[in-house]
Amino acid sequence: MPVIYEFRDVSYTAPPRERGEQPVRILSASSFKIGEGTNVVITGPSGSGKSTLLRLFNRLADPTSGEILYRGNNIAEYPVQELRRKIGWVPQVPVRFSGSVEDNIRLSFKLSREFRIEDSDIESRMHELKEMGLLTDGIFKRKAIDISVGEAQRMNLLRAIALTPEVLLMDEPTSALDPDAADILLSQVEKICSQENLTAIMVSHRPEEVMRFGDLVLKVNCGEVREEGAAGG
Amino acid sequence: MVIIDWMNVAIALGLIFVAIGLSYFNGFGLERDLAVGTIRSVLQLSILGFLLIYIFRLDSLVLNIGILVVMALIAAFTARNRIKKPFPGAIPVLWISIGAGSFFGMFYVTLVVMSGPEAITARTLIPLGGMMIGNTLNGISLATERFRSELEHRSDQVEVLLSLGANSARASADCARTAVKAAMIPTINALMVLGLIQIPGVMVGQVLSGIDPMVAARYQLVIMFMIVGGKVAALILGTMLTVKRYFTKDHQLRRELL
Repeated sequence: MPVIYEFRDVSYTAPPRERGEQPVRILSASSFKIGEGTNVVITGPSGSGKSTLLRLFNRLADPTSGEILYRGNNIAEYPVQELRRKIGWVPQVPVRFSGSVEDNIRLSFKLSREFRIEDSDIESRMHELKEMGLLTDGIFKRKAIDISVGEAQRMNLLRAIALTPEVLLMDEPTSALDPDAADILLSQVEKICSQENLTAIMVSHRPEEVMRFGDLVLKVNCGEVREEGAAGG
Repeated sequence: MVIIDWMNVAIALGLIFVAIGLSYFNGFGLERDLAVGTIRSVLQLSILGFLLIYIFRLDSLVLNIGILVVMALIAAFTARNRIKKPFPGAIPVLWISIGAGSFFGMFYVTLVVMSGPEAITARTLIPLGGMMIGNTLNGISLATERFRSELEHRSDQVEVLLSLGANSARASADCARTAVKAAMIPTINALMVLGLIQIPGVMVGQVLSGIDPMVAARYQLVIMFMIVGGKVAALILGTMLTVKRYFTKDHQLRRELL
């Protein structure tokens, strides 16, 4: 299995928020590899740096030292906007923009002029996304602020994969959902990852999700990242 | 024409004593601030009046512009002090935007409206520049503070847009729009009620000093339009420059500044 991500001695120190505060070291000298198509779960106690680690994958933050390779190339040398378009992002709390659910998903296609997409390609991708069955046609037409949290998180998932990324990053995507909605979302994530051939990296603190989803588990604790290998599932 | 001499000014101080007395008896605790503010305003305006006599007499364009540049710098420091959580490098951003917006408004009025370099005298530039800078200062501190709080509240939204490949300007465009709109509200409100429930200072001063009210109204309108145009320009430039402070060159939101 080809390696998609490699972390080499990656450390991250959070800059101080107030003058006079000390910088806080969150990750220290972490090294690991992720194979293409792997389902990875990042887990660990609250405040251990799970979300920070996730943000390094698409350069929402950069490591203080060490290097991260994406398909063998240092991600710091990759044009950042191009890199991010290959990596989908699902936030912890679903983000809703104004307009309909469909407008929210279409937003992905028209965010930057440098990456112009043909109208016919947009329409065929929208058709594929609708066919996935995550949301009904009726929901696509509704205003994004009027749908439930579970539906909004599925909308966020569709928006994240609209640009056919290679990697899907999810920051505790089920934390705002009740157990049933969380279970549905996780099943849909599994289905999409296999259909779209995605490498999925998810932050979770729910043991049942870690067991079920993680081919590879990265446990973050006191700044250390430990690989726990296949957890089951 | 009503003549106001220094004796009249001294008698007008009675109103300040009334305000201080009312504050004392009602326990507002504003007495010291009122006294200091009054003393400062008397001193500052007297010095200004005294200096203006010489500045008008000299009437050097270089000196006039130099004075306005320094006024814009003082305004930048004042604006930064009004921001709850100032961002690093705020002074140059505020200075450039207050300066550029004010010069735009002021030179449009002097060169285009008053048509001609003969309008660029100390007698027009200094008072117009002062008004322009003062108004822009309020707007820019409101806008930058609002921009920061919008970024703070919408940080998840901004990062979703960044993750989809948007650049920092695009990802924070809604925050910038909200900030500029909020900062323009006081000026738009002033336009709406101009002459209805508010007669602005310029017009009051002119009417009191014996000028035809219609002439005073025309001056007032030109000044209001100058403030609107210059302020919008300053706010747009200011938020554009502020975006660069809250994001890294790699389009990363600097959460530690929020």
